[in-house]
Amino acid sequence: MEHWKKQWSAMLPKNVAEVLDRLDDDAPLLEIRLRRDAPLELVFDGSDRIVYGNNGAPMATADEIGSLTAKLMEYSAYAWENERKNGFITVGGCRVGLSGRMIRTDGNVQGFSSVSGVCVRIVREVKDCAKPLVPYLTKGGAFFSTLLVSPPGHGKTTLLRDLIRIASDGLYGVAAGCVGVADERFELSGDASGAAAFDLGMRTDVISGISKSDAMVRIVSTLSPKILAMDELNDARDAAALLDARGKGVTVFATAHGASIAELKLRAPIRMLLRERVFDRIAVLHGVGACEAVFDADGNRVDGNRA
Amino acid sequence: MKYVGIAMLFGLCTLIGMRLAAKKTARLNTVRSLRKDLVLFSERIATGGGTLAKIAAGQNGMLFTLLGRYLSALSDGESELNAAACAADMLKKDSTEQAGIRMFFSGLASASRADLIKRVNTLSPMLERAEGEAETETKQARVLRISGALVGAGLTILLL
Repeated sequence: MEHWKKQWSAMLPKNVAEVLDRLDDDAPLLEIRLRRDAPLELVFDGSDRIVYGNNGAPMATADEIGSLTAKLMEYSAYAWENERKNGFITVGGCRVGLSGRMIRTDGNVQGFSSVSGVCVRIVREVKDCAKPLVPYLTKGGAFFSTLLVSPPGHGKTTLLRDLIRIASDGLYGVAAGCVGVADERFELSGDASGAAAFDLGMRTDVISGISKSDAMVRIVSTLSPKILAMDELNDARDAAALLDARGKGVTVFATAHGASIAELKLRAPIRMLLRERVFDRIAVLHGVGACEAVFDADGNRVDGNRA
Repeated sequence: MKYVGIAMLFGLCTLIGMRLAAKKTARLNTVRSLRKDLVLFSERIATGGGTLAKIAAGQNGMLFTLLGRYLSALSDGESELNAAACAADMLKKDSTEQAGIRMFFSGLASASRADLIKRVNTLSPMLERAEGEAETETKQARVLRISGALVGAGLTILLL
């Protein structure tokens, strides 16, 4: 995986690239936000920085945002049609959120008529970041079905990616097994071609580019995974597919936005999954890659020794 | 000496005729390649195909050469209109195929899949028309070349 600075300096406008070049290689940069006629916003872990152009000028004009978007899409807007309808594109495993004016025809969202801002989420591959959690998420060398919970930008996807790798390769006392990954937005595998740019382990199969629920149904029915992994549990269809997989004896890994289990229960699909005890372990993160607590299906804390 | 000069003059006419015919044949070949490539392009678009760069990669046809030129101009910071003009400039000036290609490439980078299919459907009849024109021109050039050669040879013999 290419370093984020090298990857994005080549993509972003020259003035933005110069700002990135001045950052330390290990700066905890989480997001690059570029808006039309506005300064650049760099979001770090725990802080953000606003950067103006020369003499207080904005960092990007409408044309520059348009050129950047075209470049990110490799001058092939048609190839990103489905993603753009959902408000993002994925470049090298990084999700790039788009803002601007969207158009709708016959009640269906068609995509953007003009893009006024981009939000690049920097992705890092942190091998072994999940290692400290393995004792709490396994029993007898087998993983429990696990839900990773945190607000956006706290490293759920990074942690999930490492759990997949550990399960697939059979590391740290875990029995190796096939892992099926439903990767709608190419964020887990990091590559739109179907091959994994990130190390997801040697026994991992990825279905990407279609909805997570559709991918999960296909993975369970055709790839016989021991573990099924998906990022960002959102709606009832995702929940139904996870429940179905569990009903077929497949262990599931999932992530969800939320600051606590109490918050999670406000969302009907997740409340249903918790009620059905789909997840044996729920790990709540409180910082980038930092786990606050691990709970069992009854809400009891199981990582007492950690604190 | 006079006869040699006359013979050389007619020989030159024949050569010019041949050169003209070769040019017309080249245009015909280009247009035929564009038509063939357009079918391949539309198939790739219909079956997913990936990005335009992926579609252009590894293909030798004229349309893919033009596509490569277009993408390269965009990478160099040209606007979509200018990039389309750069690609079209590789074709015969003021020809039907040049106009068609300019239209086809203008805004191609930001076109939707449905728009791409529309563009293919618009360019296809234009290229068909261009092929008809090129065939006629090629035939005329061949006649010119043969006539020039015959007349040149006949007059040379007569004068000698």
